[in-house]
Amino acid sequence: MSDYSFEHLNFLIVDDNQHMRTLVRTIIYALGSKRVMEAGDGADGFKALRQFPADIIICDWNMSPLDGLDFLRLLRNAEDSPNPYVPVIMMTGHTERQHVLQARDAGVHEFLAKPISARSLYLHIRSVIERPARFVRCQGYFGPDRRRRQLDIAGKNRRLICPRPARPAETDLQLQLG
Amino acid sequence: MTMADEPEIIEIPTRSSPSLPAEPVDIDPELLAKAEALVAGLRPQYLSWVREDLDRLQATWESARATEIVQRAEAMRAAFAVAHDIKGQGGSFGYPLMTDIGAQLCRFLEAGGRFDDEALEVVRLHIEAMRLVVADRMEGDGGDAGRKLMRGLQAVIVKTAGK
Repeated sequence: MSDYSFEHLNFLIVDDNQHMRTLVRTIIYALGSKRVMEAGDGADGFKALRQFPADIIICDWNMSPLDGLDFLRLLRNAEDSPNPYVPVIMMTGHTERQHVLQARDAGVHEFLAKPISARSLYLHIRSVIERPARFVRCQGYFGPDRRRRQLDIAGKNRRLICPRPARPAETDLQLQLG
Repeated sequence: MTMADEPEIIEIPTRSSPSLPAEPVDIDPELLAKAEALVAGLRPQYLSWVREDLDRLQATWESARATEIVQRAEAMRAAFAVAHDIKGQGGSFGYPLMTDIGAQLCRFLEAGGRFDDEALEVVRLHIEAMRLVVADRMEGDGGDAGRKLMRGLQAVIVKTAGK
């Protein structure tokens, strides 16, 4: 068995659903950390970071008034952000490719599909610990490197010759109004 | 292209925090088993939580039914939000059938754009089905009864979509 422990890690859970917070907190406790703070939306989460030096943030997408993407953008880009580099694991039921890309372009480290399990959360926490992403600052983006694999690519480095397009407008899930 | 246009690569040498472990880890099966056991221990609480969710869903349905069709969008959005919560939680607590029914209801509400009485009936049947899953403690896929329930709900959606 590994002597690895989450004991000294600080976790911030940002979710407007009390039941989800309880579930995540239960798993984190079982994994060995008792240093858990909860926040009910992105604004509260950002505020909490001023007092609580989170090592890992586990965040929901759908929250009000400040949702997960807005929180992430604030965390990464605000001048007064307490820690723009902190790893963020985004939990969501929106697993369509478009949503994954949106979260990635907002600066998320890991994307965790709901319903979550102890194993899935554990593996994502390990992933952000074991594979710390370098950060990239370029036109229209600041956050963890979105290139997860290091490949030898023939030809020019498009990152250097072609800035990424601006982030697409937010198109969070909306009901048709009929 | 100027230097200012080039991306800046920032290495995070200390994993952004000195308290993060520095060495790779192995999966600790005991730790994971403990976490899974604790989550399984939350199942009775989940049943209580999801009953509250179903009451909220029922309330949005009743609110929609009490209003004119053209004014039902807000209530249906609220119904979607609750169904989305149910979808996101059922499987975590050993009730993937709740996740499946919740997901189907979300897809129906999201894609249909219909708020007429037939659409409301589809929502009602999904609520009733989820209440049945909770009442009968239909864990997992619910076995034959669960599969029959899903087939029935799918048939209702197909029938309603054809109208």
